[in-house]
Amino acid sequence: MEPFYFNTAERPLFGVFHPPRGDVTRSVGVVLCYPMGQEYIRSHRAFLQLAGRLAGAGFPCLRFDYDGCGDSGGDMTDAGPEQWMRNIGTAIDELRDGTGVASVCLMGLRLGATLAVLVGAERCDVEQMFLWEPVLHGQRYLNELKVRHREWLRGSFAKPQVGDGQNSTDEVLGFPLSARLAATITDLDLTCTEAIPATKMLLLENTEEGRLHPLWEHYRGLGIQAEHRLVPAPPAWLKIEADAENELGGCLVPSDVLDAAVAWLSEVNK
Amino acid sequence: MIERAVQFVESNTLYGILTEPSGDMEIKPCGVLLLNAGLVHRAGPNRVYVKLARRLTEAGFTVLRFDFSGIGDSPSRTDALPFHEYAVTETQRAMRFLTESKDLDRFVLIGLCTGADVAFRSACADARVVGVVMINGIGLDPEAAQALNQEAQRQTQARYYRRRLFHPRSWLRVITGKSGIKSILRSVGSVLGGPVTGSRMKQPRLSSSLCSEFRHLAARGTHVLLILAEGSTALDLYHMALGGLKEVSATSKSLPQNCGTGVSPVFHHEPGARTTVGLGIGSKPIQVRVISDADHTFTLLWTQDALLRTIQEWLAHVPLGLQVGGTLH
Repeated sequence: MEPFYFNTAERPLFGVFHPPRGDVTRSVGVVLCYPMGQEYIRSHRAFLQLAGRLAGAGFPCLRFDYDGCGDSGGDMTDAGPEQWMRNIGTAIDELRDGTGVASVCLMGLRLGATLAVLVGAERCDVEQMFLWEPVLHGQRYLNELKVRHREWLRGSFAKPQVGDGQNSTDEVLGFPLSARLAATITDLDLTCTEAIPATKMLLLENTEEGRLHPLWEHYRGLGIQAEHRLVPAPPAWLKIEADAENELGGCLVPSDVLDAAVAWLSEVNK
Repeated sequence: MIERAVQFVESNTLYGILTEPSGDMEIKPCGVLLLNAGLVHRAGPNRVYVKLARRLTEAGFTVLRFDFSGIGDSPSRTDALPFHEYAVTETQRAMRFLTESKDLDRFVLIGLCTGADVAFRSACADARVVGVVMINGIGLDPEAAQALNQEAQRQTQARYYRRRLFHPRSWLRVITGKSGIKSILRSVGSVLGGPVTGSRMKQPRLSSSLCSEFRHLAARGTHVLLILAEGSTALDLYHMALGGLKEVSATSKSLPQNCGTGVSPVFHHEPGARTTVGLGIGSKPIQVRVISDADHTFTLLWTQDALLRTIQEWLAHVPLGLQVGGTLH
C-alpha cells in the first residue's frame, strides 16, 4: 500500500495505491470513488478492505479523496461534483500512467457511483463499472440527507446557532452544504443520461426495494452488458449504533458486497 | 502549509499525514499529535482533525495525525496486546518519528473520546509530553470505563430529558400533535427519578486513583485541557470521577458544578453564546471547558469552530516551555 499526494501543489489530492498481488496479471486497473461527507467517513473502512481484496485478485487499485474531502487539500465549502468529476479523471490518468493499464473500472458508492457514471460517459478508457447503491436523483438525495440531519438534531444536545450568519441549511451531518454544492447536486439525474458510461456494469443494491431496476433496464436498453444483484447488507455509509451483534457500532465492512464486486470484476476479466 | 503522507514502523507500518508550517514561518519547537477518535480514521469525526491540524500549523506547530494499528489505513497487529496498551506504545513511536525526522523533543497530545484516554495514558507514561488536550474523554482505562459508563449514560439521558422538559418547544410539539404526551411523561419520569448525588457514585477508589494521576501530571509540569461537550457522557464521567480535583481551573460560567442536581446556567445561555470562546485562561495546570449545545463528535459546524478556537487559544496562552532554547519541565 502506497499513500501519496498527486495533482497540483495548489490542489493536492491524497491517494493510496494498492499494487496488485498474486500470480494473475490484469490489464484493467480500478479507481474507487468514495461517497461524500459523513457517508465518506462511515465507508472509509469498507473501501480500504475493497481495495485490498481487489489488489489480492491482481487488480491495481487507487482510492483517493476528492478535493476538500478526507486528506486532500481544500475544504468542502469550495468544492463540488464538477470538481470531483475532474478529480476522478485525474485519478484515472494517474493510475494509467503509473501502472500502464489500458483501461479502468470505476467502483463507486452512493454519490461516488453517480460521479463515476458521469465521468465514464465522457471517457473512452472506462470500460467497466461497479455501482453500489448509486444516487439516482440529486434532489431526492439531498432531501434524504436533510431529513436525516433533522432527525439527528431532534434527538441530540446539539443546537444550531442563530444570528451568526449561518443557519442549519448550510450544513448536513457534520459537513458544509453550500448553496452552490446543493444546486449542483440537485441537477444530478442518472435516469436521463443517454451516454454509455461503460460496456460492462454491475448494479448492486442492499435492500429489496428494486430501486435500481429502472436504471438496469435503461442500461440494457442502451446495449450495455449490465447485471443487477441484490446483496442484503446494512448500509455501510450510515452510522450504526452499537448493539449485541455489533459491539463497536458505526463501522461496517459488508464482506458479501465486497466479495461480490471482486468476483464480478474477476469474472468479466477472465 | 505543507501536507505529506508519512509512514513509520512500530509493530507494523503505521500511516499518517504530517502537516508542517511553510518555510517562511516561525516553527514552534513542539510537535502535536492527533490521536484517533474511536474507530474513525485520522481525518477525525466530521473531518475535524484535518481542520485542527491546518489551524495549528498556521500557528507554527508541526502536526502529525496518524492511524493506530487496526484503524484507518494502518493494518492490525499480529500480537495479542489490547488496544489501550499498544496505543500508548504507538503514540510514543509517533513521537520518536517526529524526533528523528523533525528534531522535535516535546509534544502536545490531542484526542477525542478514546483518543483522549490514550493521550492521557501516554502523557502519564512519557515525560516528553508537555501538554494534553482531552476532548470528551477523562482518561479512564477500559475497566474503569466499564464500571462507570452505565451510570454516566443514565445521567446523560436524564440531563437530556430534563432539558427537553423545560423547553417550551417540547410542549408546543405536544399541543400541536407533533409529539406524544408519552415523550413528555418520560421526561417527567426522568426528572422525578432524581439527581445522582455523591453518595450514589460508585468506585470512589477509582476516582481517587485517577485524580492522583492528574495531580502527578500537574506536578510534573504537564498542562491539561479537558474539553467536554454538553451532549457527551464524558461530562457526567467527569463529575463522577474527577469532581474532586482541586487543581482545576474553570469559570462557573463554563463548568456546571454538578450536572446531576439541576440545570446549570451553562445549559440555558442565550442562543448564540459560546461559553468556551474568549474565556480567560487561568493559571491552573488542569483546565476544563464545557461547550454547550454540542454533541459528542461536534457535528454542527459552529461547535467544530468553537472546539478549534478553544484549543488554539489554550495553546497560545498555556506555558508549555515552548520558548526557543527552553528546557523540558
